[in-house]
Amino acid sequence: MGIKKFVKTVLDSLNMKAFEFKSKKKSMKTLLRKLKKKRVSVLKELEFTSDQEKRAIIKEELHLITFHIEKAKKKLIELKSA
Amino acid sequence: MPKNIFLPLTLILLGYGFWNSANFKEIAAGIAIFLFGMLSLEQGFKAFSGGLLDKILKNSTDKLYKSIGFGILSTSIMQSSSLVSVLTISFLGAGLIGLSQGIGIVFGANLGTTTGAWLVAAYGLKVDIASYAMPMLVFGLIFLFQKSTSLKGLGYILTGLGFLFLGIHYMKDGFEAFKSTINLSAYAIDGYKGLFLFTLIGMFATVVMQSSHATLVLIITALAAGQVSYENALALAIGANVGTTITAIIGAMSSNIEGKRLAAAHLIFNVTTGLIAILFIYQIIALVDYVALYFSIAEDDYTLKLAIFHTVFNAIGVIVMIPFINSLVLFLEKFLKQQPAEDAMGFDSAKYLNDSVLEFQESSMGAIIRETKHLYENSFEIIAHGLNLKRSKIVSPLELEEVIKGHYAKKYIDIEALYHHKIKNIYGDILDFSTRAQANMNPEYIQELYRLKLASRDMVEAIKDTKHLQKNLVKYSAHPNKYIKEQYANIKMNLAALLRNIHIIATTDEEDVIVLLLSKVRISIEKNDILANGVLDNLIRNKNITNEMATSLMNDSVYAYNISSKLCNMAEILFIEKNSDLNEVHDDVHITQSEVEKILEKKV
Repeated sequence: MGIKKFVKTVLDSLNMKAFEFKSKKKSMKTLLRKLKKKRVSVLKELEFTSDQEKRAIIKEELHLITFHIEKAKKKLIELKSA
Repeated sequence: MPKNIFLPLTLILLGYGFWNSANFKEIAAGIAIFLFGMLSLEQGFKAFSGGLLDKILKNSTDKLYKSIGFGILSTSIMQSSSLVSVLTISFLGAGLIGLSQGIGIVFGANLGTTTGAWLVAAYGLKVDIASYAMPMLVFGLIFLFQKSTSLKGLGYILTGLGFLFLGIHYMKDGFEAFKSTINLSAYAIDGYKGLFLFTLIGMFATVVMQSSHATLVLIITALAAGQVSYENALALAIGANVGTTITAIIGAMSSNIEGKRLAAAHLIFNVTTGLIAILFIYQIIALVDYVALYFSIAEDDYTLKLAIFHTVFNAIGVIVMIPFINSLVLFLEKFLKQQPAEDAMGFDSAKYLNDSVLEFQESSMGAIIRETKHLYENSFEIIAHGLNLKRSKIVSPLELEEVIKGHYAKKYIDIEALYHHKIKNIYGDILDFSTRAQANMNPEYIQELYRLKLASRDMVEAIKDTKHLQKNLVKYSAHPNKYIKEQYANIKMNLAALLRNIHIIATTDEEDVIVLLLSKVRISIEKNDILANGVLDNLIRNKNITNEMATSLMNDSVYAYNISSKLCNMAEILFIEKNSDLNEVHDDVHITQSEVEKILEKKV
């Protein structure tokens, strides 16, 4: 048995694959937290902007952030259930 | 000329020695076997360093104490400060670590190498190590015949250790037998005269053997056999320490300026340490006696005392030099100046691709990533100039409307010439280096390398598209037809916005910023595609532009679309760090083409 195969067998038998999910979950959580924080700051910016053109740009950005938050949340649920 | 006569002269001298003395032959054979063992050991560690060693080196040298610790530990394990120094030079050359970290490792390696003296003095001479050598050689050879790289590596390590032990045994036997025929200790010279002379001999022996470890073992075995006096042995050890820098100097010859600076730092450190040891030799001897007494080492156990001396004077060197590391870095940066990457003809070339890292996949990958970023810097500049924009203004906080008002030059920029001067060589070097590095990489790295090659190709193609776009951009930017002029101004503005966003992606660590900007860029590319959004149709239908203008605009909008898409693809590969959190989740959160279309449909 090659070293790589041996390591793989040990990892499989100890169910170490779960670590990968854990790290991915952690990374996803970090991203989600940052995106949520960003949404709060963009919402504040929108509140204090009266210029219609600028408001439209900020709304676009808000829309994009919300899209990514939803996507990250969905993926996180998938990872948690895996 | 001296180089040409060196080899025949050495062979003649050795041949003469072998003819005259069987003991000399035994000692020389011992040295040869020992050196062969070191080569084998290095080969073995290289097999394991494909990933592990370079990963550790990369991650555990961010602080000075860590660098020194790494130098001590790795040299103690591998028993070769030369391998650690050359590896450090390679890393420095590839830009993976800084000069101060490199200096820290070299300082540590100097301390780590003293463990060799301890091992030989404490065990090598007192235990019959040749009896351990035989099984090691047999097992090692069996492992060498295996297909697995790791087992082969283990085989090299075992045979290496076996040969080291066997070499020590032959040297020891040779000196013991020598004792009955010639007494070399009769040539011992006292005082500073002897100190300088034997330091020079130690230096010379190490330069010839390219291993201070081998010299040290030779000194210890000669000392144990009483063939050299204790004081002269100390001088030889000092000389060996200075002579060992030759390996780093040779290693640095093929490296870039950073590698050369490290080799110079190594030389300065070892020469300074040697001078301190010579100047304060009697005080250090007294200190060694005190330490020996403290550890209950017999007064006449000169081999162990030599090991203590070796450790003490290297430790003193490190302690003395640590406060001057920053000054040393400044001094080296001042006196060993970076040659401009561009040659006299203005041709830029690769900065980070150093052949010495080819054997280490992590280091090779690091070097290729850095070089691809270098290619990106040049590509950014060429594309900006092709759009007649100043790079500095694009990356500034100025409003984009202001940025596109300013011009880079009044003259027409020759993108073809810029491509030949700033891209072609680097691109060629990246491809060549990648192909060679691939031979030592596992499939995961090869896949990553393939993506990096795609990123380079995207940049090159984006430049070529800029060249095609440039002609009409210049022509219609000052055209009397306001509609066509407006369209080309939009193309310029969108590309400037793209370059600015990519610059932000390239320079930020914030995952959310990268994800959002990449999505924003993708949406903007589709939104500004005038073929798809109906703008071109309207202009033609309303006869706002001529047919010739329409054809040009259609072609150029394709070029602009391609430039944007390619730079965006490149940014996704190049600026999402391999081991980052974002890399882990990017595939799951990045915006797909169908999602971009959905978002744009909703807006419509």
